[in-house]
Amino acid sequence: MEQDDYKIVQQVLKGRKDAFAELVEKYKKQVYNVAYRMTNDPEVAMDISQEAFVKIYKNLAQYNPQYKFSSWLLKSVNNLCVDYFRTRNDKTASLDVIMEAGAEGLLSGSNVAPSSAEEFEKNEARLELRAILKEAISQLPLDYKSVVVLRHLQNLSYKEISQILNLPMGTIKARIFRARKLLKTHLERKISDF
Amino acid sequence: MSWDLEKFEEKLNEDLDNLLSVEEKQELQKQIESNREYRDLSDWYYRIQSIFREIPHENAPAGFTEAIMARVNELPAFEVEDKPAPKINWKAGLALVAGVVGLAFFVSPTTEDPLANPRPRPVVVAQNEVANPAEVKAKADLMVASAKGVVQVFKKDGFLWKEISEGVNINFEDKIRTLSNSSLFLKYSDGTEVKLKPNSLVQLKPDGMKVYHGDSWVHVIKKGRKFETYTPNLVASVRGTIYDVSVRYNQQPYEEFLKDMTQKTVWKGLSPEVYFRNFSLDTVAEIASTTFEDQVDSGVKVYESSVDVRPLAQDSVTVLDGVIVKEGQGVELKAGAQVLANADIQTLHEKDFQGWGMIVPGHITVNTQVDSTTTGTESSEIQSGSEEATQQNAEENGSSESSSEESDPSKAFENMNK
Repeated sequence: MEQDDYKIVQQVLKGRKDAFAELVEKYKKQVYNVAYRMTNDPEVAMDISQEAFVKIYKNLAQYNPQYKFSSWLLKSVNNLCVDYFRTRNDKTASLDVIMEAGAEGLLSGSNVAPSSAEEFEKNEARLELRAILKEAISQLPLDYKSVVVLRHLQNLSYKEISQILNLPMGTIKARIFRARKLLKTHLERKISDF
Repeated sequence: MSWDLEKFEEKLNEDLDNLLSVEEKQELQKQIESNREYRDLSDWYYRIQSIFREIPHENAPAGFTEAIMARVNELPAFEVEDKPAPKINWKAGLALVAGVVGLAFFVSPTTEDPLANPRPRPVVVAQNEVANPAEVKAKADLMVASAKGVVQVFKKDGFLWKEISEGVNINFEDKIRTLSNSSLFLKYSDGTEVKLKPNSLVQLKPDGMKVYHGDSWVHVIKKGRKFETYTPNLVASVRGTIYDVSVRYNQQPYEEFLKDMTQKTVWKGLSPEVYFRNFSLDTVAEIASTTFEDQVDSGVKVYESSVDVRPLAQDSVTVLDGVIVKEGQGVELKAGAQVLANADIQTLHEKDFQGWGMIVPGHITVNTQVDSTTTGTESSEIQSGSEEATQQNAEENGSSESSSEESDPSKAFENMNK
């Protein structure tokens, strides 16, 4: 699969621009979805996706085939998302914010009313839960959001996420762990409001 | 043996990621069955895990690939086989190399990470028929009569500057800027005309505009049409007239001011890289309008009919009493001032008309002396500032053609209209 990508890259590097469209077609859904889940805004996701592909094209000569092409591409997407949030001074942009906002308390879940998950077996509740989870993901601090999107929505391995985010696997693991706790807390709270 | 909560959660998470061996998985199951708290906890996590799988993947918008390929096709191919090497234009080549080296100085990654990315450039919307469908669908509120140089649009909901020359629409609430050697001529649907000189940043609205920086010119054609131009410290209201509005922070042209801004305390934490990535330039002006409001000079010059010019209070909302400025007159609200009186009104200079490609109507008496009015003097200073920038750019580009045009803005606008 990756060998195929590299062949396409080589064709583009020989001047066949049209071959790049194959890569766009192949990865557009993945790229757009990551950008969309990260920003929760279809227009911004479109902008970021376009920019990511164009950046990749401009730097195609630097592609190292020992890495997955998709990892390289998603790294570009992630960096653009980080820039997007940083530029907008978004409060979800940094892990620091979680400390400032006292969100550590959320992690313990100590203020959450006890609620049984069994109460939500029904299908309609499940749909509601899905919507709540999507909302919860969009509200995660960026550092957590990126690992959740890559791990759970794109089913990437720790190793791939580690390459994309340029972070040690231990850090990825810890972030996913904490992100899950935050999501669980958010869901419990929402459900207790029903 | 019972696990403590920390160990349980750790193992539970590993299970969610399929990292446990068969034995570990069995032990985890035992822990879950023997402890009600662990059972509830694991129930939540497994449930969330299953919901994750149900979240659908969105399809990329229609025309996605075409929009990207339109942009890619504007870029040079890497290596075209069986073609003779292109002739090298050494002047352009050197300028290009200088530009690339200069850019790389600011934006090159500091790591050798093989996955490291280059810095983003402003998004350019695809051209004409193959443009981004989302952009194509949007109807433009303003028509570009002509544009010269680098004119960019910051969409209301966007986050990158886009080149106007690439077919991007202009809608109300978008921000528009002209960089050095650049100018723009826009038309509203009712015929109202707006021109921008180099180094200007404005936001256009249905019934007026906000001038953050630079020199803007307005010709309201329709009688009775409401049009208000806001600067950080004044508002100019008209009903059928021609006038211009100038805004300067710290008496600097836009780009010069922006470069200085990166050195100021307010930008601590905002790296120059961000600035050069073109992400925050409009925000710069917005912040400047509040942070540096005491350094804002605004001027209004009236070329036809009259304009009601009123200062804004420190809250930038409350409109204070002002003056009526008639044709052939100008007024300037200096930084920190909040009062405009009739004594502040000055006679325009001939150059003020010429600066926008206009001739002085016979019934208007203007100041023809070299030492112009207050506003006229400011205009000269502005112009000389632009000339310096233009000259510098012209030298960098190995050309002096645009310089002469820049020194005579009327020529620039004449050429734009050709």
